[in-house]
Amino acid sequence: MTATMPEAREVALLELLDRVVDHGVVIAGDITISVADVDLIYLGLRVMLTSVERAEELGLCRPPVARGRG
Amino acid sequence: MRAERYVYAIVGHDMRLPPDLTGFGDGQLLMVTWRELAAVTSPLAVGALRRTAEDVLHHNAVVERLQQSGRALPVRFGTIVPDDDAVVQALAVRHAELIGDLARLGDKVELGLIVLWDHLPSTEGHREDDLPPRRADSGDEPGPGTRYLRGRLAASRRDTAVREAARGIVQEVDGALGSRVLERCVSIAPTARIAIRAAFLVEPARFNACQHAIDEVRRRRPDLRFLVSGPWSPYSFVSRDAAVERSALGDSLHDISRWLTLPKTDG
Repeated sequence: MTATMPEAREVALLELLDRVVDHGVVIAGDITISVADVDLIYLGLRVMLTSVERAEELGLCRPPVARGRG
Repeated sequence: MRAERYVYAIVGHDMRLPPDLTGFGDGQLLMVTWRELAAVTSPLAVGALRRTAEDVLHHNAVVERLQQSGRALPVRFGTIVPDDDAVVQALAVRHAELIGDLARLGDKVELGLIVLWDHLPSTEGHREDDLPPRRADSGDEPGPGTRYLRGRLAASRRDTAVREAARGIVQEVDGALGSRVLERCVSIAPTARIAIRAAFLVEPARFNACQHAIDEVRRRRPDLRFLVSGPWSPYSFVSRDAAVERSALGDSLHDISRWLTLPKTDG
């Protein structure tokens, strides 16, 4: 995965979370991620950003989303 | 301890898995096949999935490595089925759709684009004096009802101006990308700060050309900020099956409806 601007590098992980948790094939199993889990993962990714403040300033920190049962 | 099956991706049954690639907890990757399809899984002890950033990254790393080995469809993070029989059943339920998606998306990537406003578009052409005139006998100051409605009208006009400007950006980007893009998903003004959030499905070989095309738009529009990311596996373009998703997400929807104290819906 590459990014073309410093801002994009900073938010790439947030973009990844959007895709991996909110998109992708859903098969007839169980999605085991709960709302609270998404919040925790989201928090984890934010901590991994080089500049959390920068992401917040850019308005890219999204509200929690709902996922399947936990 | 009983192990379930964590599912990373859907691939063709004849794919050769990278020998050095492992799943969570260094678990061996296994292919569970049904007809032309296979699900790439690894054993996972019940309750062992960690909902951490590291595991999200590992899930995606497995998907990306698989896509380097052949066509692969990314499965949503956190998908667990009880055993191999359940994997086979899951493949059978969506067989035709997954076959179609694998052919359409399996060797493609997506480019992510976020365009941010530096300054929100103005409501030029909609000045305060465009608002309906006050009645002559209404007194000097408008009442609270009038102020409220005028505020609503102004907000509506701001929203319309923002959405029109965002659609203009989409047209510019579409024009620049042209036929390099196979499919796209665009969200117009999803938040106050973001003009558009988009994903473009492209051939991997055309990813850099698409980046350069967006750079051209960026140069023409110094009033905007363009954030390009990728290449990603084509998470945003897989077909959605409402019935299956409702089944997989049913408990969550139930929880949400309970939190909102709304009546539970059927189906």
